Parts: sequence; C-alpha cells; structure tokens
Amino acid sequence: MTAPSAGPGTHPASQEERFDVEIDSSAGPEEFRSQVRAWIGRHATDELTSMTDWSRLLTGNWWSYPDEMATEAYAAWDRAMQEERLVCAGWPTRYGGRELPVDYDVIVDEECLRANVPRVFRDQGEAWVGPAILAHGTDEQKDHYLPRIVAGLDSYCQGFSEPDHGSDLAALETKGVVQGDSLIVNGQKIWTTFAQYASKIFILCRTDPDRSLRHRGITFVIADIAEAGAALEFRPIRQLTGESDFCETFITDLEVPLANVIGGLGNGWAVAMTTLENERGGRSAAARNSAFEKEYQELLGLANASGRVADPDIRRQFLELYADLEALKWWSSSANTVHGSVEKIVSSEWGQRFGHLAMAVVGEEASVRPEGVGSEWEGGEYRLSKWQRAYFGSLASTIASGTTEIQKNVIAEQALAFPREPRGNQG
Amino acid sequence: MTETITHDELQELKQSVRGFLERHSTIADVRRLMGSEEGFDASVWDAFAEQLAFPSLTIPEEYGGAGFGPVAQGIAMEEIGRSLLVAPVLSSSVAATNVILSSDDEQAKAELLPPLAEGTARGTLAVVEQTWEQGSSAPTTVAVLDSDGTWKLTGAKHRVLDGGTATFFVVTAQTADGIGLFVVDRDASGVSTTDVPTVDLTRSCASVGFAAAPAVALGTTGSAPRAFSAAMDLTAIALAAEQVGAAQGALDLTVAYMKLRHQFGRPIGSFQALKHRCADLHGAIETARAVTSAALRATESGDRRRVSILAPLAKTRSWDVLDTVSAQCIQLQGGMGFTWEVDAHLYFKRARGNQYVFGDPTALRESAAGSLGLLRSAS
Repeated sequence: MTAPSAGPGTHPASQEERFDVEIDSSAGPEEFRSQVRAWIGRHATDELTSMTDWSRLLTGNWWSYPDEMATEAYAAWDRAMQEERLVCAGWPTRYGGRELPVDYDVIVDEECLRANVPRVFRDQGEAWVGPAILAHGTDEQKDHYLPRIVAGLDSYCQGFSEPDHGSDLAALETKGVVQGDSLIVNGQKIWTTFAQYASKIFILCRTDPDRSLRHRGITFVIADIAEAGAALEFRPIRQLTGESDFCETFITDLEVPLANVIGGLGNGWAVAMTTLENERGGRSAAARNSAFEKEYQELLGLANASGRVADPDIRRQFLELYADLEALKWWSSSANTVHGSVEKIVSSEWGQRFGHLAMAVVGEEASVRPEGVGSEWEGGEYRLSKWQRAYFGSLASTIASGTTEIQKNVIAEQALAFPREPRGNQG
Repeated sequence: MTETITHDELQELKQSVRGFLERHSTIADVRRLMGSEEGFDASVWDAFAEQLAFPSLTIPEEYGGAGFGPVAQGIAMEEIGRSLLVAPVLSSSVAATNVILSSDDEQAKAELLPPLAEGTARGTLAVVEQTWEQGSSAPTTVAVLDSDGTWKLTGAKHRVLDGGTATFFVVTAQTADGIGLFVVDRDASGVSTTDVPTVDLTRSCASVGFAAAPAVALGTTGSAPRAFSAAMDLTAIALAAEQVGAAQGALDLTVAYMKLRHQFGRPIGSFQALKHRCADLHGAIETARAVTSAALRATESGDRRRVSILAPLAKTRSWDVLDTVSAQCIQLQGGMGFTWEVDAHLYFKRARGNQYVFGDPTALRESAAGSLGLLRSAS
C-alpha cells in the first residue's frame, strides 16, 4: 500500500487523520488514472460487469439497479470503494471522502465505465443533499447526515415540484408551520424520483405564508421516511417507458424536527439552488458523456454491420452527433466555461437525436418490442429494447431539471441580457 | 518545435488582436476596403505584422517567426472573423504558410517563411480548377522540367484567394511522377491574373493563368499529397475559428439591435419567441466554438487521426452555424436587415463565399466519416 495521501485542499482539522488508501490522489491526472485502472483491476470481480451498462446510466440514472446493489458481490465492491474513499470522493475526509477534485472524480467514473463496473454512487444523497449540507448545513448536521450517505445507510428522494408548480417552482404551495421544536408540513409533491427506494426525503415548503414573496420564505427540510409513517404516502406514476421510477407524494401533517431544516428557515431557495447547480454540469455531465460515447460506438458498430451506415442521412447524423459530443466533452473539463443552460440543452438534445438515429439504424424492427418481461426498472411487462429505451427515455431529459424552454429564457436573460419575462397576476 | 502558449498568454493575445482590430478594422474600414482594387490596407497589414507579429504566429523561430502554433493563431482567427478584417490572412498566413510548413523542403522554408513572417511576402494557394477536389487530386495544370533544368508551369487556376495581390502562388500541378506543389512568383513570366467578382466583397479572388511560367518545386513530388492534406486540416481549423468569430459578430450586432428596437411598446428582444431563437443561435455558436477548440487542442497532441476527424467537422459545423446565424440576423432586423446599409449582409455574404473554400463540405464530411470508422457499405 502506498503512503496515505490527504490530497489537495485537505480540511485542516483532518490532517491528523490517517487512513489507508492505495491510490495517491496527489499524483498528476495521467498517473492517477493508471492507479485507478490498476485498483479496479485488483478489486473488481467479474459479476460486477453484468451490473452496469450505459443504458442504465442514461435511461434510468442508475449505475446499478436496487436488486443488483443487494447482492453480496456488489456489497463487497461497495465496501472496497468506501475503504478507498472513492464513495463521495470529493467530500472532506472527515465525512468519508478524500476531497478529490471534480476532474479526478470524473477519471474514476470514466475508468469504471471503461472496465464496465459500477461506480458506487449515492445518487441524490451524493449529488444533491450532500453538497447542499456542505454549503449550508451546521457542523452537527454535516456530522449527522454526511457519513450516513457515504456509508449507504440513507438514500434520498426529492420533494420539489408540485402538480401546480413545476417550471415556476418559486410559487410552490406545500406549507411548513413552526410548532415548538417542529415543523408541520402539509402538501403534495410530484415527480419524486425513486421515492419507493429512499429512506429520506428533502422537501421545499413555504414557511412564510405570503406567496407573493415567491422564493423568499421557502424552507429546505429533511424528513425520515420510516419515522414519518402515514404522514408520507408515495404513489408510483407509470412512465411511457413502462417503469414507475417516480411518484406522487402526499404529505399530511408531517412532523419534522426543526433541527432538520438546512440553511435556516426561509433560506430554502438558496439551498435548493446549490442542488440544482449540482444537477447540471461537472461530474454528472462527464459520466453522461462517457455513456454517450459508449452507446455511440455501439450504434456505429450496428450500423456498419447492417449496412445502414451507407444511408447518407444516417451518415450525416453520426457525424453531427460526433461533433456535438466533442463539444460536450470540451465543456465538461472545468477549465472550459459555457453557460450551464447551453450545456443542458445540448446534452439533453444529444440524447434525443441519438435515440432518434438509433431508431433509424435499427429500422423496421424498431416498432416491435422484445419478448418477455423486464425487471421493474426496465419496464416490467412493457419491455423495451435498449435502443428503444435510449430514445424513449431521453424524452424526459429536455423536461426534467428545467425544461429546454425555461433554459432558453435563462440563456436569453443571463447570457444575452434580454429583458425578463413579464409575469401574470397569479403567483 | 512550437512553444507552448499558456492560457493567460492566449487571453492576452486575444485581447491584443481584438484591440488592434477595434482601432484598425472598424466596420467603416471594412466597407471602405471591400471590393476595392487594392483589396486590403497595406499600412494596416504592416502594422498587424509589426505590432502583433500575426503572420508569424505559426512560423518557427528559426525562420523568423514567433514560434507558436495553430492554437495561438486560432484565437486570433476568431477575432479576425468577428471584425471581418479585409486582409490576406486566410490566403497567406494560414493556407500558404501551412502548406510550406508541412513540406519536407528545408530550402523552401528557409527562403519563403521569413518574408511571410514579416508580412513582406504574401502567398496564396492556386489549386481550384473545375473544383477544389479535382484541382488537388487530378489537376490539368502541368509542370514540366525544361531543358535548362527549371520547371515550367502551364494551366489555369480559379478562385485563387487574394490572387490579384499575392506576391507568390503555391500551385498544384501534374508532373511525370505524380502531383507536385510548385511556387511561382507573381512577377514571373507567363503569369496573368484576372480579378473575379465575388459575392463576398470582403474577400478578393482571381483567376490565374500560367503559360510556361518558371516555377520552383516545393518538396518532393511523392510527399506532396500527405503534406498537403495535413496542411489543409490545419487550414480548415483556422477557417473554422474565423467562422465562429463571424457568427459571433453577427449575433452581437443583432442582439444589440433587438434591445433598442421597440414595437408594441417594448423592445423586440423581450418577446419570448425571439429570445428563444437567439438562445438557439447562441448555443449553436458556443457548440461550434467548442468543436473548434477541441480541434485546435488536437493539433497539439500529435494525434493525426483525431485531427483528420475534427478538422473537417469543425469547418463544416462552424460554416453551418455561420450560415444559419447570418440568415437569422437579417430576419431579426426586419426590413432594415435586408438593406445594404445594415451590416447583416456582410456576414451572410461571408458565409456564401466560404461555403466551398478549400473543399466541398460533402467531401470533407466523407473524409471525417472515413477516419471515424463509418464504413462505406455493410461490413
């Protein structure tokens, strides 16, 4: 084993800490990459290669499905990754990370995809809640929530959008009323992804009843699902792809300790903006780009083998997608800035254009589904081929995390300094 | 060997070029020079060479150049495209310089590169006959070795950029041993040029006739095709950067207009349909810029295959974007956009002029497709 390394930007308090890791993250990127590759070679087992695929990453945002994550092979891999501090690797060492810079975290993702093994990724806890707590939480909250995320003890789902308030999230109506040391929450949420598998939910609620304040007066709070009992009800919603990855969430007199409020009462919008920033760009973009690259090469192979590659229209689309993927890769390096909304539009539309091309390459058979029943994460009875899933699933990406139309407003107003949209009377 | 240029130095270069062009190539200057007989402003060209060493950016120090590479030139090219500078940049500092740099001819480099670096010589490629492709792969222009041991060139070349003002030509010609590259002085005997009326008045073009004109071979005949192809990849990327800049210039002009122009009681830029359209154009320019940046970065890596994929893609993509943006910039400026007086048409015509410069987009795409691994038929 190599000498322990704290990596760049170590939290001063943790310099006393000693931990045994094999990979030295103070190395240059190329050396780091070789170390990661070698580490994966030493620790990954063969069963893991059947537990991940670009199609899981792109159509479901999973590296591996819950049933795969419940296997002993995966559990052993999870432990190995935790010991190597590659789970939530960018977090401070105090909480289980190794303060890995984003570019290096990307290298780990890329090497996992290359070896076709899953990155142990704590989904919304890692991508959303952790960064929000790191930015806005108290030290007690950090010490309480973050290690549990790293250890895989908690998984999170999001209570943001409401049936009447999606794009205009600042107009949300779910109410939070302070009562002693608690917050009593009532309302309804929708598109709560993976609520059925989560142990905690993070909710945006209005604690100042004056809705005209919009984003001021909104509070971000974490609730434990088991403790909530009947106060939280999740009803899965079926997607056009056949599976039911997201839910309606009914919140009825949910009592949450005020200690679970992150960032203070009325500061929830700033906390949520941390999370929304983390959803776009950075590491998730890089992982997505690697998955795009894999599916592109696979489809190209299919087109070459079948002869569909001779169709000039199909050739043209392959070339244009290649160019756009180069642009996405250029932007995912932290040195090359572009407005996040531009990246989001290009990326989400890439997935759709690619999927559309896949239908053309597959040809007439694209209208027929494969025989048999898929897992609950792959459509169940409405089983789709991976190309069908790649395309149909991509239709959500121009809607979720800020629709393309909203992104265009943002680009026009922020990048081009055009006047803002006029508001209506309500909300 | 090229010097590695740092990110900060690149930003400085960009600002210097931009500042120079804001002083010496305003839109009024462009309008004054476009379609003029002299084709460019010699004092501005000299200052460009003296103050910014622009023509020397890609020329190694041993030949009197600044010793940087395509990345530095690419940064400058975007600014040059944005300002629509009327000057023999593409013909001389990019294309002719690239071809000479790529040759294996030390003597030619020692002779030709220093004056190119200083800006005192201006070269241009004379390749197009029926098409660029035909002129480069099967030219009817012939070069024969005379009894006195010198080459003599006979043929006609078309759409030679800055053909009327260049001081020398780099010419593709058929020889007994295959296709060769030759250098011909404009003042040599048997050379005649005829100006061509271009759609894009910011770029001049000429037809050039060679009647047993004395020529010097550039490199050995066998090496010409590979070196030429490498040079044209670099040229395509520089042109891509120029096109990104022009598209940006067109959009900037239009966005500024849309904030000032009021209808229905508010700026037209406050209407969502138009905001979204501009957001689309902005995104398209950013994407083309990123592809071009990736292509420029690839030139530093020594990865020939990657360059051969990204060069044609950067060029065709940035052209498509300039084409779309420039047309939309006319549309978004309404009736005024359709006038000669408003500058939108200058960018539109730059797109028209660029469409087939240094190659047909279909052929370029096919070249990228081949490098990328798209088979021509079932495997």
